[in-house]
Amino acid sequence: MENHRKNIDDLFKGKLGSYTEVPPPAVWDALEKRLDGKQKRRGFPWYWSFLLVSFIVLLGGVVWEMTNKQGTAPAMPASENTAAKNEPAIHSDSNIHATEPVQVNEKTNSNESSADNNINNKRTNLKIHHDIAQTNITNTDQNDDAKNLPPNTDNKYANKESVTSNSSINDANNKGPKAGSEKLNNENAVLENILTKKEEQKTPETNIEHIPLRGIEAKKTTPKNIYHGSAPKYVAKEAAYETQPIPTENDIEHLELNKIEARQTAIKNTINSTPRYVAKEAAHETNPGPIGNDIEHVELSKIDTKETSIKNTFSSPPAPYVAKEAVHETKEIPAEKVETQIAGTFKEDNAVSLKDNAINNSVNGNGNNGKPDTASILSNFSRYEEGIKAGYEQGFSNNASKKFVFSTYVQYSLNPKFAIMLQPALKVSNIGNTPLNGTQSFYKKNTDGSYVFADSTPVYVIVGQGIVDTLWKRDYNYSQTHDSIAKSYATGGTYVEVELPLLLKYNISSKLSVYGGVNITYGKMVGITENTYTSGPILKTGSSPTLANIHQSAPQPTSIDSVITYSGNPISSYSGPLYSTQGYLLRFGYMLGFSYEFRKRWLFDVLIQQSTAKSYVQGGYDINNPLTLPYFRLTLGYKLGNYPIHLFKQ
Amino acid sequence: MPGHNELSVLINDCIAQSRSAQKKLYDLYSPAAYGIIKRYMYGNDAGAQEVLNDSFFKIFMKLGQYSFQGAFEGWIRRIVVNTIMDHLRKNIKHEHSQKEIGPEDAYVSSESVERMSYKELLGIVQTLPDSQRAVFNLFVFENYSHKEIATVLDMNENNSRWYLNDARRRLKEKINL
Repeated sequence: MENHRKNIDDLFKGKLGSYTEVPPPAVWDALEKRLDGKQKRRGFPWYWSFLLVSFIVLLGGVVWEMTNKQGTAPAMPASENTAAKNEPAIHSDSNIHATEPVQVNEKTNSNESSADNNINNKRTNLKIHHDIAQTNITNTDQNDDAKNLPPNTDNKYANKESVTSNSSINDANNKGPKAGSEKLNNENAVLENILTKKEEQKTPETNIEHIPLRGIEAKKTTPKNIYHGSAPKYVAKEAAYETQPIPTENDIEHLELNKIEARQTAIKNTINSTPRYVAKEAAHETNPGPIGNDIEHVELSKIDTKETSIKNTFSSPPAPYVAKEAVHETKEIPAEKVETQIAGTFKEDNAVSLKDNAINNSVNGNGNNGKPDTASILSNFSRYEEGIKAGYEQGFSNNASKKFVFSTYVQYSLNPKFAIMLQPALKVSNIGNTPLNGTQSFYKKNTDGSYVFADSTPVYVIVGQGIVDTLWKRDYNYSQTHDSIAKSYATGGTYVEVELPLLLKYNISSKLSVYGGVNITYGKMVGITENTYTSGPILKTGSSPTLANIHQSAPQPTSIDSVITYSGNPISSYSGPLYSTQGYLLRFGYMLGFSYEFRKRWLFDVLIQQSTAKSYVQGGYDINNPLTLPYFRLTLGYKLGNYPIHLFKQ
Repeated sequence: MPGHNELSVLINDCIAQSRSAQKKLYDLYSPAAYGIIKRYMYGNDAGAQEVLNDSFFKIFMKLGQYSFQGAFEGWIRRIVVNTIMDHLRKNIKHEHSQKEIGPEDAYVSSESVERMSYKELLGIVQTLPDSQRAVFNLFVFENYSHKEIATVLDMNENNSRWYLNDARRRLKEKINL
């Protein structure tokens, strides 16, 4: 019997040594929460530091912006846009222009009396201004390449080119004031009617008259010198230098009169390229205004100085340089070019503040004192703007998705400060797996089950008085392997969203803006995946005896399925995944952000957006939770283009 | 069980705080760990689950210290057993009186044990007093020496021996009933 007795330690070790039991799902849930708590403490500072860095970058941008604005012109050497700053003061005609604006009012009054006498000659001189202005605008917006050249050289070259192309216009001008007078009298009559209608609209005209002081100022200097008998060569030179100041006035006139042109094609055809200025002068004449007002002074001086210039040009013997100037300045530049660059913004009431800044700069003689000049300010402001942005979005929780964002934007400016922006975006999102409750365990029996005969012993049974029967006990050892299969569930994976925010944008400065608005998001919800883990083969053993009379043949051993049994469920009872995912979701939310413009076309955006989503709890976890979290986005953008308003009005 | 390379990837993912990897590791090794814990704490499900939670929390926190030198199962087992011991030290009350260790008959009929299911055997082990059950488990299943047992359970070696003998005696009585 001793050989049937085994050490109790070994028996227990053999039987329980490989004992395994799948713990209830609640253990993992509790562990996960514990791990979450640990990770959150680690992850939290990262987000804050990220936000902090972004805030510092934004703050730096604001400070830089403000610092730049506060910088004074005299301290800045050779600022970007000003030809005058690149020229020695004595020889610079721009310098002359810049240092004498204080004499505007004096001259305005003195010249007023001669206005009527010279009306017929205005056409020629106004044409000069107009064309110079167009040339100017082109130069300004083409990054001032021409401005670094000596102005005289530039314009002389232009003069030579324009002589032949505009000879017919010059011929017409040289016919004298009489012929032009008859023609213009009729034209003015028509235009006065038009302008009377325009007066009823009030606002645009009023603003226009406020805006272009620089251009006006430039004109004032020219006739002044002529009037006081400056040498003829200065006439040419100064006219040439009128290409340097910002030609805002002319452009405004150009824009305004475009409208007139559209309605008055006949007039346009009649007066060829000059009707804009004729019209403007007509406007001045119908509304002379009191002299006490500064703006009116300027307006009057504009008229008078133009007239004076005209008078001098035509009433004095035509000096060679004057003739040359006229030839040069009748050079035509396609109107579309000018319009494309700055038109569309000048009629805005709220543009006055911006423009007034530029005006002040001009009046102070610091037209380009390191600040954006009028043209550059206005060129930054266009009705329509579009561009692209790409960036990365991160949530404020460990459960949040990581998103790559590709967006375009279209912006419509209500005025220089406010704009409406649509910023449709495609977002490719990825979220880490979050386990769900409901792990299922199964076993799968392998087909290697077997038994072997182990031992046999006689068993004596007393069946009657003095009669003993003998049974034969046969022991069989069984073995079989199986796999343990666990089915678990997790939410996560990649999904795509389409986002359409409607935003109101406010320009804090020319480069920094803040925006906010509502947001519609449409996308597939986060999926649920089923994971299968298999471990095995796991060996299981058992034994079972058979008893039979010693005279009987050995009975069939017990079935292995009766000897080796399994707890749990067989894999055949698996009925498929416990959870399924919803389809697509339409969500609503908000968006708030900052945008910083650098290097003219590049944009750096920081924003926060958050959307709602209905709760969808599966396996003890709301799988829509990541969709409802606030997300922090950084994007880099590029302006593709600005579209002036007239393109949309046609 | 995963192969060496797969295990390395899984461990590194766990170190990188990948929740899915942690879940996978947990699913792979928690049944064996829970089996060990149940031998010590059969019938005390709440306590067993608490120890399992503590064990895997330590595993995930200390995973970076695993040097890939020994069997990973052995590393996990050691943490689990140590956690069980931490738990038991707080709860079991030792009998510090010296008792005579008499001769024992440690042999029982193998047939009797084979007849029993896991749960029956675990139930029998559970009938042992806490100290005896801990000593028996450590000695039989973890191959601890009496010196090691005395250290981890804060007792002297003779006590450990007496507990072991008494556990064997009790188990034998239960089996032979």
